[in-house]
Amino acid sequence: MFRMIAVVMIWLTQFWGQVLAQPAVDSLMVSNGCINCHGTSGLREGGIIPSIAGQPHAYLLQTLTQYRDGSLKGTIMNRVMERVDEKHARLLASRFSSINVKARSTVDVHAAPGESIYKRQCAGCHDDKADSSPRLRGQNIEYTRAVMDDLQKGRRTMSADMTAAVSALSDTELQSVLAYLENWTLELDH
Amino acid sequence: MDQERRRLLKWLATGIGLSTFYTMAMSAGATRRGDFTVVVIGGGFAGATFARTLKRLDPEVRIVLVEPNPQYHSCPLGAEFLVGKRSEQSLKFNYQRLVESGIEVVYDHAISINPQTQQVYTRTGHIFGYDRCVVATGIGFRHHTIAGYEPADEQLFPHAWGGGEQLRLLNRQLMEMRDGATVLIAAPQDDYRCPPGPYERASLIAQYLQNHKPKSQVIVLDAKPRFAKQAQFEQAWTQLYDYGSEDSVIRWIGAREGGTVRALDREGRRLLTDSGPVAGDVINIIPAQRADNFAHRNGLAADHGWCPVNTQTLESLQVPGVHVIGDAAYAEKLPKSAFAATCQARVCALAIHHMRRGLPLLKPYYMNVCYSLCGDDYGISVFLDYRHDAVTNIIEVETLRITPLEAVREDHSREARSAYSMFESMVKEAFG
Repeated sequence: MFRMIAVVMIWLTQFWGQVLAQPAVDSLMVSNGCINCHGTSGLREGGIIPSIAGQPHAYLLQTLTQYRDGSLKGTIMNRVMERVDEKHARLLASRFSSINVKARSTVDVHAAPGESIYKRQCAGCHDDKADSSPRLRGQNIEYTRAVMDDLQKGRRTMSADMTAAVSALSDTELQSVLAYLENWTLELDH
Repeated sequence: MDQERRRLLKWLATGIGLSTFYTMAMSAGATRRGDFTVVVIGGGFAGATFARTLKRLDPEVRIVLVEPNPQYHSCPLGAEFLVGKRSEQSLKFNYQRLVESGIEVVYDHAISINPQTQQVYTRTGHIFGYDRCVVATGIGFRHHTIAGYEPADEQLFPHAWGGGEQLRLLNRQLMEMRDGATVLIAAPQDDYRCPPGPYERASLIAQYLQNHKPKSQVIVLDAKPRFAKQAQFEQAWTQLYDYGSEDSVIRWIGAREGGTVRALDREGRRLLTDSGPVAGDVINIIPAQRADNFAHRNGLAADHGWCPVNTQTLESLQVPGVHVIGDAAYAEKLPKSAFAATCQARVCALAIHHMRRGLPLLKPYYMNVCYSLCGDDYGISVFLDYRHDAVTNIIEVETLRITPLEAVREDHSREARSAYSMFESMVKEAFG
C-alpha cells in the first residue's frame, strides 16, 4: 500500500500539473476531436496529416498559436484553433509532446546521398534534440513535402535560419534530403 | 517500484494518464479482475472505436462485441467506389486487431436486451450478461415516407446508404447505364446519416458522367430547401461541371422548387415530386431515416425515431444501463457522421471508465469535421466546435466554419488529400 501511495505521489507531483489543467479535465477528453485525424497516440502511418507525437512542446505550442492567430495558414487547423484558449493549447501541446517516439529507418539509408546533406544542413535544428523546430525523421513524407512546397512558394513563412539553410541547397540536394527522409518511420518508444 | 513507475509513464505517454492512476489505486482490492462486462452491439466506426478505447483504458474489463458481419464495409469514401475510383477492398475492414487486443468478437445478430436481468440475447441462442451495454447499431429507413416505395424496392432502386451489397448494386447500375441516361438521387429530409453525403455522391457521379457518359445527367431531387456546404458544393459544380448552365451535367431541385419526392412509379421508373413526375434510368432513393430496428424493438427510440441519450455519458434516457452511440443516438446537436460517432464512442468509454470507479464524470468534448470530395483533387470541409450544456443536455454548436469561398485550387487539393488522410486515421483508430 505504501508503495502504491508513493507511486501516486510521484506521479501527482511530477505530472499532474502539466497534464491536467484541472482535475476534472482529462487530456484524453480534451483531445477527443484531435484523435480522429492525428491518432490517440499522435502517430500516423503516412498521409498529409502529420504525426504530432513526440514533437517538441515549444514547436507544437507555437504551431497551434500561429494557426489560431492566422500567421500560419492551414486548411482546417485555422478553424479548429479559432476558439481554443491558451490553457487548452498548452494542454494539447503537453499531451502530444510527452509521448515518447523513436524514428526508425526502413531501409539502409546510410548509403543515401541525402543523409550527409541532412546531417550537414538540417540536423542541427531538426534532429532528436530539437526543442523549437519540428523533428523530421519519421514524419509523414507527404506532409513534409507539402510544408516544403508551402515554404518555397511563400505560403508559409520561413525563419531566417531556415531561409539560409534552404537557400544553401540546390533543388537536387533538397530532393535528396526528402528522399532520405522518406525512408524513416515513427514508432512508440515504451 | 521502478517498473510500476515506468508503466505510469508509458500510460501517460499514450495520453491516458488519469486512468492508470485510478487503475492502480483500485488494484488495492476494490475491483476484482474480469468481473465487469461490457457488451457492445454493432461493430461500425462507433462500436469498434468504443471497444478499443475502453480496452485501452481498462484492460481488465471484459468486452464482448456482437456484430453479424465478419467484415465492416465503410460508408465514408463509398462514393468513390460507386463511380469506380476506388476498390471495394479498400473499404472493407475486419476485427482481427480487436480480437488480438482481447476483445471478444462474436459474429452474430443481437436480438434483444433485457435491462432487468442485464442480458443480451443473440439469434444463435447465446446470452451475454452485462454490467453496461453499448448499442451502436446505426440507422434504419422510413420507407413509407415515399408512397409506393417498399423495402423490396431497394433491389431495383438501391439506397446505397450503407456499405456492401447496396453500394455494389448502384455501382453496377451506373456502370451499365447507356450514355444519355438520367440518374436521379432522391435526397431525404433531416435527420439522416452523413448530411453532405448525397451531394458528394452527386458530385462524383457528375464527374463520372462527364468523363464516361457525357450525354447523361444527374439530378438531385431534394426534400430540403437547402443542404450542407451548399455554397461550396455549388461553387465546385460550377467550376467543374458547368452547374447552372443549359448543358450542366448536374442539377439540384430543392424542396422550394418542388424537389420533394412523394411517390415512386415503379413500372414507369418515375419519381413523383411536388413539381411533377421525373423519369430516371438509374434511380437512387435515399429514404428518410431513423434509428435501426434493433433500437426500436428494445425501447431505446423515442417518437422522433432516434434514441435520446444523456450527452455526458451516452446512456439511454429510456433504458438504464444501456448506452447508445453513433448514428442511432439522439445527441442533440451532433450530426450523424463517423467523426461525431467516434467522438461519442470515446466520451462513452471515458464515462463508463469513470462510472465504474464511482468518479465524477468529465466534461465531454465534441467536435465534428467532415470532408466532401467534389471531384479529382477537389475537397471541401466543414468544422464544428461544440459546447456541452449539462443543464439542457444539449451539445450546442459554438462555431461552424466551412472552407472559405475564396479558397484556391491548392486549398481544395489539400482538403481532398486530408479527406483520405483522415479516413485512414479513423480506420486505424477503429479497426487497427
